[in-house]
Amino acid sequence: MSYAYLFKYIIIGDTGVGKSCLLLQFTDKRFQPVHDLTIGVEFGARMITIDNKPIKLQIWDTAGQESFRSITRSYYRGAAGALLVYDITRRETFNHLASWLEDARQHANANMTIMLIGNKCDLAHRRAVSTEEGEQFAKEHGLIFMEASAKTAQNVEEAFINTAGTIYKKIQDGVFDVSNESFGIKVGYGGIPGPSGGRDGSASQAGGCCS
Amino acid sequence: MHETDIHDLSDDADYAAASQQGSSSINRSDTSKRSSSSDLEDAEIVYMKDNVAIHPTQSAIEGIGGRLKLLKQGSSLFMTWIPYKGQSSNARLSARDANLYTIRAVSFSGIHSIRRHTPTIGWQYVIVVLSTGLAYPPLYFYSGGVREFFATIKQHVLIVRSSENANVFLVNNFQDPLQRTLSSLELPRSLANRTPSSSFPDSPSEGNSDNKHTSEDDSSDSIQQYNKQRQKSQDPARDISIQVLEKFSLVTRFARETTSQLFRESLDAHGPNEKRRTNWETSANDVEIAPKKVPVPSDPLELDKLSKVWGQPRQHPLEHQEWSIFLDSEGRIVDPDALRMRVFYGGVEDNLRKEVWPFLLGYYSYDSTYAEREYAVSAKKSEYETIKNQWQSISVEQAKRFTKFRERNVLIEKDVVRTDRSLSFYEGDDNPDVRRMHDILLTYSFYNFDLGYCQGMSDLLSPILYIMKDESEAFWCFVYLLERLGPNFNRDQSGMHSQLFALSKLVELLDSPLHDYFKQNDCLNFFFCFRWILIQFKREFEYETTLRLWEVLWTHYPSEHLHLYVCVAILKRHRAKIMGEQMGFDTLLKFINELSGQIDLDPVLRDAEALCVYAGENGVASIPPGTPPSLSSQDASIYQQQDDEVL
Repeated sequence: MSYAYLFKYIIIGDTGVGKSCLLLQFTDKRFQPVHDLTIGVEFGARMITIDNKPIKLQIWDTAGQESFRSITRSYYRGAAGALLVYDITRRETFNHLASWLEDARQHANANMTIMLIGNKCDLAHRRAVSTEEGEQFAKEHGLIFMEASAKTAQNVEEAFINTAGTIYKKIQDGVFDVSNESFGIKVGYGGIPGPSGGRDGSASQAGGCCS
Repeated sequence: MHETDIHDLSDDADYAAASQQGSSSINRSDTSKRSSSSDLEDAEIVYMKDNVAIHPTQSAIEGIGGRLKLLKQGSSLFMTWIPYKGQSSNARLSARDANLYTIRAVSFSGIHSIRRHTPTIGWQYVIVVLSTGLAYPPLYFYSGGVREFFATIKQHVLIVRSSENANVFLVNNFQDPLQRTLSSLELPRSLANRTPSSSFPDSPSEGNSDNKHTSEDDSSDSIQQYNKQRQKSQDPARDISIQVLEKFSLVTRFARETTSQLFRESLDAHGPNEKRRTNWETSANDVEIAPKKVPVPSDPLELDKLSKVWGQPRQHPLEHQEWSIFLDSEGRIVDPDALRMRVFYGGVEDNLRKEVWPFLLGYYSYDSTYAEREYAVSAKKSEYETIKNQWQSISVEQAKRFTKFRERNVLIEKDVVRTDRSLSFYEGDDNPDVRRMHDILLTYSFYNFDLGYCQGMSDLLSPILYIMKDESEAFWCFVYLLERLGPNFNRDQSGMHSQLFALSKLVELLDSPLHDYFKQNDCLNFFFCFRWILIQFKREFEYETTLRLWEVLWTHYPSEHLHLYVCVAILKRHRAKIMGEQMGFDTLLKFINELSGQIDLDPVLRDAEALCVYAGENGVASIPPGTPPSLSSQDASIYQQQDDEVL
């Protein structure tokens, strides 16, 4: 399927916070309570539309356990967006956010858009992290923030699409050289070609000039 | 030994003949076509040559002399080679050894090709390769007669000289598309028109052989002899079954040695940079068909052909009756190597796994008796309970101050409910087996506190608990599995990195264009194979198929690193797509992940075995010492012994 842009995402966060379930809810619009735990890195994709342009999201879902980080880190590179997920019912998953962020900053490109997601907001009765704390953390670290539920699908679309919107805006603003795939953005054939570095070599009014 | 009643074999000539082909599986499909030796009593002898020997030890001094015959019955041609009785020049080669190599009535319909060797010094010899890929040991013509041998064959069956190698003769092999091509080009006729003398160089003196040896003159005699021997032994069925397995091993080994020699010659002849090709397949290029343009560098090994020669056809799984033959009256495994080989080639029937797996994993020792195992099981059960009690007795107050315990417990709790829950064995709320899985993993994290718990362990435990059912038995099997695979879960991932490194070395050895491609595309870390190796392909196959693969890998035959060759085999099967579609780091991972459920195990195992055998010493050298799963020294010594015995 043709797309104007392809954005590469990575989903990170502690084990069991619901990374794979968020992905599945977004790509398949379903919640699977009995989902095998993720080993290594898995993959999902979906088309969305922003500003009337078809955009393909290619999403890399990583295993959360600490010991796998040396492997999963290598998938940070070339990601335009990251969903950093914690579980609002488990305090420790929130406490580990700083370490995840440090990892992301270190191994991803500097312009990567990061969305902080407090998952499992349907379990409000077991809440261990307040919404305000999440907001505060996001503000301090320059992240977009949202509470969501992979189970009820609340804010799942929004989380992925808002992230894409932010990336799209950055392209418009000329933050990225979209011809350089290391930013996690690829210009497609089916949509608006990118600026200077567009594949067919023609200039485009869609993106700003950054070269 | 499969479709035949084990307890009533003594008069079954068909069985005896089958056993002589080394592998029962070879004959399963063509039993009806193949005549048994006893049926050949009325066959016409069209060729007979004395002083044709095999060299079991590669040393001519230890050759076993015998008589080679071609027999014609109806339109079928058969070959037999019967060793002379008591003639062996070396005491180590017993009558039993000689018997093992005997070729009783192999039909030419089951022969793929015959290769002739004419060394500058020494005797001419031929190697007969069966359609199954199995090869007989080289037959050395001490008194000449090779030319006559081929000439006789040519009179009775269609035999075509390989266009690629003038010393390889393909036997009525019209399933082979290349053969069909040749046939349509009428090459066989032109070959047939050649006179024998122009086709075959003069052989050494073909003077009459002296018949000073007492030969077992014909195949039916030798079968009677064979039966007599069997009846003498205390437990004929067991004795024979083991002999068959041993023979299978020997013949297979020979096939490997001789074919690996052929390949080496072939490689040498073509030089390292030229396209390598096996010797016994015809080549389209040689009949002046324009070479195909391939978008990707071609596979230097041509795996299909390699597997045909070296990869053994899969057998049916080991079942109860056959299993009992491996045990002596007190329950010891008489020949562990034969068992391993049997399991390697066929796996184990589901309801027998519970008995066999503990041996394969090293939990039960092969020389233990029923009584010893019964005792050990109960001792191990109480040992398990003791370790389990260590965490069960941790109070809530204590747990509050024991972060590591709490973390592990939570992680395990979260993971067991995310492991194979779609399987009926583990499905449903409050499933006692999910609870058992939790308890085993947590107990293991106390038994091996340094390693603790890591994701992926539940995937490894799930099939073991599913098979063993008993909690303590499953725990100990798991312990022994992790003796091998524990390094996969090292915190620093050192065990995984060393295997991925070894894999890259093997790909470099076995498919250098693919290796170069990965290098250019920054994929040499082989992270895309991470899941395969971490949990032994558990996520790549259906559950039942995973059980089969695991027991095969656990035999550590022909290599404890066979799983790495399995990786190479799968990658090679998709090399054209990987390179053709210019897959990069990301897309390659996606592609590999999506192969899950798409991989056909048996051909892959065949390829893996062929690659492993082909790689040989170079393969061993590519895998750094200590790369998991490391063998215990005891295992290593067994392999050493096996090598000594065969070589």
